[in-house]
Amino acid sequence: MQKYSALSLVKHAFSKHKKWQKAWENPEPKKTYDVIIIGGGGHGLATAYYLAKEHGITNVAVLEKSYLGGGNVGRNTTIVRSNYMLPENTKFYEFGLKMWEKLSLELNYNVMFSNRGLVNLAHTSGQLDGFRRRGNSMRLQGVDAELLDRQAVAKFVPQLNMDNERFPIVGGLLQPRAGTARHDAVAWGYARGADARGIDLIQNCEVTGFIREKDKIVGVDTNRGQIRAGKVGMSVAGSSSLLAEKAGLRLPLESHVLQALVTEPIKPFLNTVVTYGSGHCYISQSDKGSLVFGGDLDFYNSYAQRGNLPVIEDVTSLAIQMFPAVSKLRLLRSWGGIVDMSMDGSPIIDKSPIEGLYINTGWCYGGFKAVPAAGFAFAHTIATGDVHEINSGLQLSRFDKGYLVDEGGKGPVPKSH
Amino acid sequence: MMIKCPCCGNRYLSEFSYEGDATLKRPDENNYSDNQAWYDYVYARINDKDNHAELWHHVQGCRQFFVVKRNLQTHQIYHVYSMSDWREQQHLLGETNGQ
Repeated sequence: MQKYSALSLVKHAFSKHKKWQKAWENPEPKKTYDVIIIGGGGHGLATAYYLAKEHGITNVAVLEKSYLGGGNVGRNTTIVRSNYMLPENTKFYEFGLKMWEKLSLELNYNVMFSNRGLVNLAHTSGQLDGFRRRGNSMRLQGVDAELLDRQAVAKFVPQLNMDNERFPIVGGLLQPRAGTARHDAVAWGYARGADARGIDLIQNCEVTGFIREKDKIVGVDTNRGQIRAGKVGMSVAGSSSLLAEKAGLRLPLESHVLQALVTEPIKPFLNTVVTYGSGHCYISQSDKGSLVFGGDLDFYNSYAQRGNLPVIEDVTSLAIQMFPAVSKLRLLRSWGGIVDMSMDGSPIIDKSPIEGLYINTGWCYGGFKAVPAAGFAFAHTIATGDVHEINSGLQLSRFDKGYLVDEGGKGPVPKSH
Repeated sequence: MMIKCPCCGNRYLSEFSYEGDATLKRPDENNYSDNQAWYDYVYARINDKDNHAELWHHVQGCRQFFVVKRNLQTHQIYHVYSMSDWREQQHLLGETNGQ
């Protein structure tokens, strides 16, 4: 792998930047691999990377039905955080946040991680008490959290409308180390790193079924022929149920569309991430200058990768409640990704009940921030056949046994998480 | 998206609330021992893409529940059933499967 540095930039300037090595190859699939990862998004590529780096397993193929990073890793609102309350989630996401802090160095690829902080707004004293409880839980587990009173919020985000008639802001919970990252770069960085370690990244290769011998899965059928493997891992987000069904496995998931939208680019306006507390809207400003809005699901099952207008209307109206100044902006684009909403709002990284098949799914709204930790934990689970300490609370069997990890206490209603 | 409520006719999506998979069968109340049946009912979902049967509630209108069969990629609605029609259809389907 060609190392990226300021020096290499200068060197290549002499050849007018025409001699850069390809970031990754486009190989033909082999007949057999040790491990196949289905899904060439952030999670799949990170899993392949850590299989090679941490476990020395390099005879690996990543099968992607379209192009690398074309799914949810390229469709999210780029927020990275670990402000969870329950220990099963906190230990996982905090491990991940520590990985994010060193990710650009690790990958020799600028993922533009910016720990600009994330503040959740509270609009009632009861909500602020809830935040105090979550903040204390975070601090007890070694995660940074600061409770902000009204004055501190106004100072931290001066653009906010503090005195909305219906939902005035009474305080907030800040995680200073949270922030944003360049989403595509994360996928590309992992792809480049995996390719450099000898992993085959195979695009336009859709898995159409599984090869079974006795009760074991020993490979996959694809539109480019049969490929056999010792182990098969799936990281396919919203398509998890459809793929698992081909293996005869029914998962505790529903697929929903989650939309995001950006405004036209403007000068620096917002130097942190803000989430509204009386409605679902989260805002940050991208490095290009666009304000990035995220909001609710469309609330009905969907595989369409596009959403409906009521949610866009809702998100923009919430954004204007928070920041009246943005009412003058025009929306540039909106898009949707299919998210794998689990029954308790928490993910699943585990071996499946079928031998040879491993699953990584249930990411709900939060798959992007999990990319490094999920790749690390899933690689560990595939390589050793057992969960890592960080995904020990995220097993599939928790639903059956009743050990749910339900942050919001909302029950088995995926659209509510 | 417009949905044709069995009582009110074509109304806009924002009047409705989605209530999930319509094909789930609640196990017998007194059956505590069949863990698998309860797991299937509470958690496991087909999560189908092509022809999904789902409950909707016309919460901002007549407040009736009804069942929609829909394509989840194109959002084309194949059929809308009132609850009584749906129960009848499920019943017929059950008899056919039992033969």
